[in-house]
Amino acid sequence: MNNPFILFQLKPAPDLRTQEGDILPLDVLKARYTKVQAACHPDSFAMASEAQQKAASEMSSRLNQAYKMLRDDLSRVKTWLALLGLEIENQTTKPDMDLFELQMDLEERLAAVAAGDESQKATLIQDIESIKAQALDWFVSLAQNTPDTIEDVDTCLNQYSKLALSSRLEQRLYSM
Amino acid sequence: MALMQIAEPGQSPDPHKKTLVLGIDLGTTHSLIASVKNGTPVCLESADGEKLMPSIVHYTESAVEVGVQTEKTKGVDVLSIASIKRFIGRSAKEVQQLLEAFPVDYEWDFTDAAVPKVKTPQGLKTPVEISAEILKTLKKRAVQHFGVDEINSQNADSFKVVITVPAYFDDAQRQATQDAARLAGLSVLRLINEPTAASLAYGVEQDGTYLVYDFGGGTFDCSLIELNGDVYEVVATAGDTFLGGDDIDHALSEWFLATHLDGKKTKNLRSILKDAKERLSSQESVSVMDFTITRNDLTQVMEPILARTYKCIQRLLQDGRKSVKEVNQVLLVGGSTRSPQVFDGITAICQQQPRNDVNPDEVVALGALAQARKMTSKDVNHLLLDVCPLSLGLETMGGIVEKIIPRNTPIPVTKEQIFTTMKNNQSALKLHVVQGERESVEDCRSLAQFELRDIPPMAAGVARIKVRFDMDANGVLKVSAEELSTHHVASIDVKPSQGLSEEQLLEVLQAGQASAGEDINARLDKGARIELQRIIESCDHAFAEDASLLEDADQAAFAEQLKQAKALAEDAAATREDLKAMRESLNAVSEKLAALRMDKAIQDALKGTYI
Amino acid sequence: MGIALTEAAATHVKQQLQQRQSGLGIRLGVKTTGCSGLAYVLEFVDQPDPQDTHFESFGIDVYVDPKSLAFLDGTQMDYVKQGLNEGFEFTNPNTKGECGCGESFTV
Repeated sequence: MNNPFILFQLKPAPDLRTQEGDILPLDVLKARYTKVQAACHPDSFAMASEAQQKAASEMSSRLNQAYKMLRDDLSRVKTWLALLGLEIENQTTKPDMDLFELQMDLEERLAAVAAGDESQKATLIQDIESIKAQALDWFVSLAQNTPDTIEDVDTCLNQYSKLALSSRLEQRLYSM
Repeated sequence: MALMQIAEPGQSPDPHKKTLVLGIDLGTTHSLIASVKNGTPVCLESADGEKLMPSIVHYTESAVEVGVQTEKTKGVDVLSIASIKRFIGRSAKEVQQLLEAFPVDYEWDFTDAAVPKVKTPQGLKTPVEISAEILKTLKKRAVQHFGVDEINSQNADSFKVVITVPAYFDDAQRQATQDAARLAGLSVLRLINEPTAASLAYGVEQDGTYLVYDFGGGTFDCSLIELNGDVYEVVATAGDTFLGGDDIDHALSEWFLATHLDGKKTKNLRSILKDAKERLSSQESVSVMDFTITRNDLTQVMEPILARTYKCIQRLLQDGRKSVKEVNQVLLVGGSTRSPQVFDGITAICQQQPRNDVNPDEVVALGALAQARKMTSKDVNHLLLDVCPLSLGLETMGGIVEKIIPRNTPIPVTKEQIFTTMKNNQSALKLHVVQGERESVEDCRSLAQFELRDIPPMAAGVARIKVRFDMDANGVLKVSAEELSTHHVASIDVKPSQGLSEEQLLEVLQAGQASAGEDINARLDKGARIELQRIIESCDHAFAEDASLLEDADQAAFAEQLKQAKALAEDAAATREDLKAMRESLNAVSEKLAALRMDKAIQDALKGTYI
Repeated sequence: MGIALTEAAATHVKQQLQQRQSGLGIRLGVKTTGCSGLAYVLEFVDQPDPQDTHFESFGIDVYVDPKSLAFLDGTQMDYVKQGLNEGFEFTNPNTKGECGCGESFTV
């Protein structure tokens, strides 16, 4: 698989939302994305050969995909873990009662909001965002130790599950 | 002598090789064509000084006329077809449904379920052919304005066009529009979405978020666009292809019939009321057939229609994760936004006064032109990043849709997904490609069905079938499937279930030319040679710049192929097949260099940056 | 002799130079091509060539390269409208024939 971080010449990291000095990595990503799109977009090769047009279209679509992978928190963390040799798809997670209960609770509250109980919405959003932020922070502190591989796989998967759960619920909340 | 224009240094066209760069707004009720004239982008006028051309096609036994009003052709048996855009790219079933809500006074033939046709004095015509007549007339207008000679105007390559389509047009409708352009002898650079086009020509300069509200004669679109320097990035888009000024006219006549005429049908009622509607934009009340209609009456009739557009805006903002307060400006596009009801409604919904200082009819065609210029000239630098408006997916067990490309995904896009077989020794897999947001296949629009056959015998769940969705920058989809253990491939352009097949299209094209007394063969021969020359030119350029990216052996092979191609292009005895084959092999040889050049482009763009 | 513009031509050139926001004037030339030998070149000038001959007509700077001048000497450039089409037209005393379409000429 292509390494989307390399494509945009970014240092692999689980988080791009934290300010580094006066730079916000997410802004850097966006600026680079548009810069490389300008250089590769098929619109700029309309008068070139078919092969060149095809190559431009393929590159442009690769950039779109890579950009999406890095912009979204969950897929970015997943990509970062894969670079450290941990392929989420190939893992089996141990059943975790705490996580299960958390999920049930959030799903229930989400269902209530979906059924029209708007009063709960704000706190639900807050709770989901905070679960997400905590999980993300966990990966950020892991990254600070610049590991070569993931040692505590179980904790890592547990944190990833929290991130996945909160991302999924966030998505559903927004599309309501 | 032919009249000349001042060219950019070193870019004087050769005789008979004049290329016109054009933007076309192919609208439901009106169409426009724009080009640069005397150094200024303008919408081209007809001989009568009109920029807007009614999208009405009149057929008599011997002639086709477009745009002229019906009154002028009185006395002849004439069939007039308006708003054909509503039907383009639709199946018989869909047209029949549409006709219930939007009756027309001409007859259809539904013998071919995939390609419904209109009965005209010149026989059965498809919506694609009828739309092509509109495009031909616009093309003629461009020819008149720029004095393009006969030889030139028969060559589609001389007309480089960008055509706009509603953002919410689906795959079949986009392909049908491309087909119509081909029939009209135009070379389509790109289809772009109407609201996106409008944003290019609206004259917005400040970075920020813009909401384009495009309410035309037959369709409604809204898009959220972020401008950042030269980059126009569409964040989200929403709309309704069955919602426009036409619907207001329809609702107004229904209301008038019910409240004033006791349901008694009256001739021309709709056009009388359409006129009344337009007058109510500037007057508080108007009288129609001894009755008075007030602006308030109209407001009430329009209310449910406008409410549907406001719902789209809500979804748009939600999809784009923006609040109304984050929108810097609202841009009004399309003739229907002239009415004060729209202005007031939008002001309330968006909590700000929308901009309406640009001619809402012309801005889309001018935006299409801006894009056409970008694609043909190095001097125009904006970048347009658009999205796919509707989710695309595959039917899975139990008629449920699995989404492969969700709506508002930036295009071009490629997505791959692995599927497997459900039964032991299953030898074929049926793929049903659908478009839409609903979960059940029945509620989505069927784009195509095809089968991957000859899967080797395997236990259920063992076969790995990779399905690949490619959507290009025109928003047109291609789907392919591959069985990974045998590399057996099946692929299709998503087309067959609606619209014209490639053969049908060629047939129509040839029939048209035969009736015009043209030598099709000569034209195709010439076309093949021009195509090859164009590719040679482009490869020559690429090779001169970047040959060093290739390894020595590849360099030599490339140079040799280029040499052979040049020889063949000069060889008067070369047949069309020869030229075509050479073009294909040159393309094949150049693929590697093309890909390497893209890698280099990225490296150059990001040179010296790393964090 | 030389090259002369009509007042109408000069007005249009001036307008287009203004719209372009750059450029010193226009270049007139010929190139060998087309069905009947030669074709006119009409372009904006950003940087004149040292060998160019320079003319001025109604305040417009016109540049012609020495090779082309032999075929163009005495040419008048006008701005005309023909129906919807409008553009620049040359009256060139050196031409002997034009191809049917008027896009190229012989001398």
